[in-house]
Amino acid sequence: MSDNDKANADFLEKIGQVAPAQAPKPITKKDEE
Amino acid sequence: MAQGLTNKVGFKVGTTSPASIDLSTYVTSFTLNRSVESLDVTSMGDTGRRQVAGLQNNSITVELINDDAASAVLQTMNTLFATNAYFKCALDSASSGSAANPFYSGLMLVDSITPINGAVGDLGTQSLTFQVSGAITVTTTGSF
Repeated sequence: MSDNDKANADFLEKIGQVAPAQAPKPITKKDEE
Repeated sequence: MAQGLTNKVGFKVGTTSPASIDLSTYVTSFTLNRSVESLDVTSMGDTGRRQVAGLQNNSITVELINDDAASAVLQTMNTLFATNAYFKCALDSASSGSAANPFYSGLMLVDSITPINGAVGDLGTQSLTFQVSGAITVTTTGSF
């Protein structure tokens, strides 16, 4: 992905046209059990 | 390709990158206008005006046959209206990307469409100009 493509994706996120990419949830102790 | 006919221009649009809805077969005229703002940096000692390039200010002007089938012009443009849409265009959509046939892509603001246009007996068309939103990415590899 070029710098411009990244800037475009960030722009769409900023104006609310696309939902922000969700970061994976951290694994908790409860998940491991 | 050397000098020749303009009959292979490719034009794709879409809501995701890379643009995937191919409208090339509906295009009857296409212009990609690339420009940069000119910043005057003339200073003491200069004997003539000097300029440097500022921000890009690009636009696309396209004339489309207003086909109303799914994934054709009418429904695609109605869906993209009032949004920033991804686009991709090339001089020759059938050839690979190269210095002689770069692929241009980016975002454009679909701020104006003409879903109904024409006099009695006319072919329905959309004659549109879009401002490019941000800069243009130019690639010289891959396929359209």
